[in-house]
Amino acid sequence: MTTRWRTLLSASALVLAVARPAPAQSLTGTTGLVTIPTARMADDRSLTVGAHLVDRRYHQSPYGDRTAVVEFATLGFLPFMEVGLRLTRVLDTPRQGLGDRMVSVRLRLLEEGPYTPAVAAGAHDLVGTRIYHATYVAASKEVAPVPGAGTVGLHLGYGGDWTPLDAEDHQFVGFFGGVSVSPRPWLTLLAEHDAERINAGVRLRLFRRVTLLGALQGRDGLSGGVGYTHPLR
Amino acid sequence: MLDRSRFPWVFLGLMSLPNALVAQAGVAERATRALADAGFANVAAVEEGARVVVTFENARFRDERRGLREAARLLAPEVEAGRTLVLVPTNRGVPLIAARYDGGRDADSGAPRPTGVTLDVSDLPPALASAPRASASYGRVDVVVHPWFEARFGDLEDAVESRTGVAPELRVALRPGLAFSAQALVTLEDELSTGESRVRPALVTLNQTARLPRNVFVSATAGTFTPDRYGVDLEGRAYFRNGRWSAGAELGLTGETSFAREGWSFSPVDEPTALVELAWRSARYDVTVRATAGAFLGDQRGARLDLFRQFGELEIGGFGFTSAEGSNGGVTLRVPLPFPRHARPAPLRLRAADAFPWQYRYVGLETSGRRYRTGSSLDDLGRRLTPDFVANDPEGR
Repeated sequence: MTTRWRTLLSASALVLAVARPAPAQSLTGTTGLVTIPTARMADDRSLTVGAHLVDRRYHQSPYGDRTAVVEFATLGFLPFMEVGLRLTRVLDTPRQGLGDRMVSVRLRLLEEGPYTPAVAAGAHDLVGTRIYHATYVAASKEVAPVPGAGTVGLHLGYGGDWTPLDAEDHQFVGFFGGVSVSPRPWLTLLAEHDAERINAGVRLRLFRRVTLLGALQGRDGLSGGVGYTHPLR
Repeated sequence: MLDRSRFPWVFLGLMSLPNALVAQAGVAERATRALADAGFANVAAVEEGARVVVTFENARFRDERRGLREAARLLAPEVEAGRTLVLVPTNRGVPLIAARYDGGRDADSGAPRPTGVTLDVSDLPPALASAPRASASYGRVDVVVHPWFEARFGDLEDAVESRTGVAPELRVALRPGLAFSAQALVTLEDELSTGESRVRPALVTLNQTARLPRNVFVSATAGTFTPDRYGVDLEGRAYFRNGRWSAGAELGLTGETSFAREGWSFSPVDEPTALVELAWRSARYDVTVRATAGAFLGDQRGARLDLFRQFGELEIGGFGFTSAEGSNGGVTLRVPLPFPRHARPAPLRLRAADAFPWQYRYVGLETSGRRYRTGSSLDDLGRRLTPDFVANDPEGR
């Protein structure tokens, strides 16, 4: 093998090893791990649309106890601001109209530095029935390269009932956190505790824009779906 | 004593003068011809010293920035001849901005790159205003087809009830700033059961828009507005800091109107609306924040805050409204339609609308912050050609 090819292969391996995995949506549509939000934000000027199927035991929709489909659109509105829209509909269930509509807004308070984490604050479901109401602060730090693991992300958050709004339910109350391991930029392994249970997942990124997510919620709920990210000019 | 040795040089100088005069006239003529041949309208050019100033109206491209880029590309040889090119795009005959080109080119695309874009058009050559227009658009008829879509969400049995159709609009520019517009709504599918005629008139307006000194724009419209209004509307807007700040006011006096099989019906024109607004635009992010307050339709006093970002031709934003009667909020979209280039101007031309504007209100029934649309708002006039937006053009940098 010529020196030139060896150099090219080495460089490619290094790039593949340390290339940072792109942010991607959780089952809830916000940028995060399996369900928890993290301090990573959708890329500026990016629009991600997708749909996830969520196990009937974990979607929290009051409209039924079957599997729910979560359709979402997440926009990198500004480099430091992410806005999400989400519809949750329970499959094979009549009389729920559009389903539950949710708006989320997340702001990055601190950009990640070499030795400091990124910090973001978020609010979900501020209007309407507030089934998925959440207010929280999250921090994320990525470390790369980690031998054998590629890029490792450490994520920690704290949420509470911080608004005077009446809500049917609250998510992410208390400490929540997780770990993401990306041995390749297109493959991420996820493990988290969402303040109520442990969840795990695998995320694949294909063709740079398509994301597949497969998750095990609790110990018995299978969920997952697909998202597509498009850069806006 | 007379120096006869200078005579040959004086003679040669005098001989070359007609050629210089021809060359000077030729620059403006060449520029005018180049843009008119490419389908731009209302083209005029004047050479003033080393500066060539060209005014035109983009009648070919959906994207105003692309129209500006194309004009710059066509006229780039004049810049390369050591001159400064100033392009002044107009809309409805009203000059919008002045983009200056000094020979710089984008490192990646090689496209001419403006070295300065300003809202100030006060130092244009006086001869430009009176210069004859090539490919004048006055008297030409454009039939612009708008898609039309209304939806109601949330019914438990039928999640989405909608009404779709097309709204062809006949548009004629009569003279600089004066335009006539007549639009019809053609319903193709109606689940909303409104009982309205399948084909009915919508906007029928006469509008005069003008630009005053100090970056002030004014507009007066009379006719029928949507939805279901008629009367007069006056609008004014002043821009500051090269378009980054604007302040405006809108006064209207309207009544209700409707069109059924029996024909038109009108209520008295006795409902005033009065709104003031203040807007700020981020140069870095192409984000606009606009606050509007005053008396909306139905004598409702309230305030509305809009936040939207321009992602190229796509606009996405949100709004919130509050009044004594309640609050509302939602999402606003402006989606470019898939026809990036229009047919060449002609006495009668059919073309698609440039974009589809849409608003989603969280609370469906529009009881809050109701406004009418005249089809000639100052907001539409130059929103896609503000100086910072042009300067941020990724294909023109």
